[in-house]
Amino acid sequence: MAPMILVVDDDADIRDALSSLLEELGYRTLCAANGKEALERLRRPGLAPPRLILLDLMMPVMDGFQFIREQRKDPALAAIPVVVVTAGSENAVPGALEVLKKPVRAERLMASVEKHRLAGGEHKAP
Amino acid sequence: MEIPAAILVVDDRDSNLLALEAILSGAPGVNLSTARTGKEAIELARLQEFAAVVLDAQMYPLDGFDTAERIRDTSAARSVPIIFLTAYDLTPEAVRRAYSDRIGAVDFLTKPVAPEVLRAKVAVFVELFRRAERLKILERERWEAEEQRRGAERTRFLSEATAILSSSLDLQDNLDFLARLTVPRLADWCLVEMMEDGNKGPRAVAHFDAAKVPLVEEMRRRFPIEPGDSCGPAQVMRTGRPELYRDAPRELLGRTGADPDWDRGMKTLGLTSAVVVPLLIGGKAIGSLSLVSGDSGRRYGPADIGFAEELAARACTAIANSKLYDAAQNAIQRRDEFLSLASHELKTPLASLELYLASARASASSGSAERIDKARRQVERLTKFIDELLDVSRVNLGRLSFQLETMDVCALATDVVARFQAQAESAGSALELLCEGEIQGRWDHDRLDQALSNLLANALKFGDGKPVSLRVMPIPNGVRITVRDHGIGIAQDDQARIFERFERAAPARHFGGMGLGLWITKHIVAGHGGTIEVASHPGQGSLFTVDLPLNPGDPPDHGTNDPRRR
Repeated sequence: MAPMILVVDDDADIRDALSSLLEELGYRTLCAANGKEALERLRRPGLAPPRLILLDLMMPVMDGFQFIREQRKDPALAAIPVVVVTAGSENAVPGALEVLKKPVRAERLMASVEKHRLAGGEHKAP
Repeated sequence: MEIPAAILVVDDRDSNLLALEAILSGAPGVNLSTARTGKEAIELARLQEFAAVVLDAQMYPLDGFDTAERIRDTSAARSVPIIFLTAYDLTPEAVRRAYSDRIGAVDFLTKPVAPEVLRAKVAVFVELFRRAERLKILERERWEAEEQRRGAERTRFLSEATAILSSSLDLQDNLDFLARLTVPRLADWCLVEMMEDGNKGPRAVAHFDAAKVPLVEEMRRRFPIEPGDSCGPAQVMRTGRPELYRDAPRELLGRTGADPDWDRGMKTLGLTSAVVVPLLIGGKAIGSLSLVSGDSGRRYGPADIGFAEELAARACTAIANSKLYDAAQNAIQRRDEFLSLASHELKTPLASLELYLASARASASSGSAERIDKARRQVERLTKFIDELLDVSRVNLGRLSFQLETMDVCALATDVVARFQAQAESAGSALELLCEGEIQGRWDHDRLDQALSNLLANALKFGDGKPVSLRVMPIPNGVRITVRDHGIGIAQDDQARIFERFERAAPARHFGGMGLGLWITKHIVAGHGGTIEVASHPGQGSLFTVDLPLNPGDPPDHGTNDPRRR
């Protein structure tokens, strides 16, 4: 099964563009428009956890920081690696393995995805 | 110098007058005035203060005694010593009457009078007069010295007050300082109220007995001032004019109706006398300062109004500054928020654009792929320009901030040069780095990267395919970075424009051909406490020299330090 990546961003075009690129490169994607939706999708019964989460920071309802806090509290979700993709100026976000700045070059994004995603059965420490 | 004294001699007989004149004139510093009738004498006494009056007891039509009585009526002569000259002995009753207060004789001499005797007696009174005058002079001098001392002390108090009031740009501080400055020198306790608070209570309170401050606040909360009050802070704020309450009325300070708590409270705090002055900015009342005296028993007078107004004026200057500062900070914050929002909104669609182009490229023919890459290059250019725009805005607002970290500038130079190799190749320029070992210092990594990248980009752009070199070398207490190209060089005029003295006001358009990058580079270097210079000749290339201290200290970081408390 193609590895699955969760894309979390409040901008519909970003979600769509990221999904297009990832799918073109052989991944499957799941999307959420904010942190709350992301948690709901992750907790849907019967769902295998994604190999990586691409996370925006500025989102309504529940922003990226809040999402990370909730994710870390949940042992079922805490091990999923998170890469932040943001238009803001943060250089480091606690709980995220890397911070990419929008607009991120596709090559840079994919290098980060390849580097941080869980291989099958592997669990990276948060 | 002898204090001049005047003597009045009164006799209705010319011969007597002449004789008396002869006897009494000649004393140094003594002026002689003569009168031939009681009426004349009274007139003269009204106009001038005499040391003594020599008065003929028997005159016509107004006799000596009546004359003396009338003279006493004039205020200038109420207590002037009067020596009576009498032609014959008077009855004891007459003499007693003469010595009474209403006539006030001090001596009786029988005519013909012995000159020495008269001179001696007059001399005594002249001397008494002079002593009294000397005392008056001394008293006046003492009072003037006292006034001067009081004036100097007042000035000193006011200039200290100004220093204290202006030591903070925080409005509440200003008001607290004002209240505390008035106690105890100007008041036993005081209230500072602000118009904008309505009924919320005093903004600042001070009391001679610090333990009573909560009581003042409580009293005010329970008995709030009403805009329609006929006296007190509300009235003063309404009219913009000060009010003096020599004996503080019960209606003062917000009381309405009879209330035993009010009486008890005021008794504890002390309410004897009060002055309320407006706090004026631009002629408009923004608040009031109420000075109250209680236990000290002090009673305010008109002079106190002036002093209170002076103090209030200085407080208002500080208050106005604080309000301006707040307004400026708010404006800056709104601008910052706008910049962040604008940045976010601009970058989001660019991000999608890049990702769509990249995914299209994955399944594109080679011709299309090339064009798609060119399109993606435009996204990069747009992104860079947006970042530069934001930087320029931040510099213009003085809000370029730096995050310092301990780092090796040689390592950074190596990274930057590596990144530019591809661009150097396509420009046909050999790119070389000369840097030995490690040079550690405290700088903003990303900003320094930006500065070096800008310099290299320019060197390659104007390098005309000739070699470009980046050198990094230590200098005392710092590091020197040079970027050399052998390209088209920079005209003398343009050099001057680039390197006018560092001024935030130097407009970015002066760097036309160089783009915004060099202007930002200059500010990054300056922000680190460094310097940047160029040496260049048209056709011979340019040498940019950047000197940076190893430890810039704290560069201007307008975001984090609160300059309010100086």
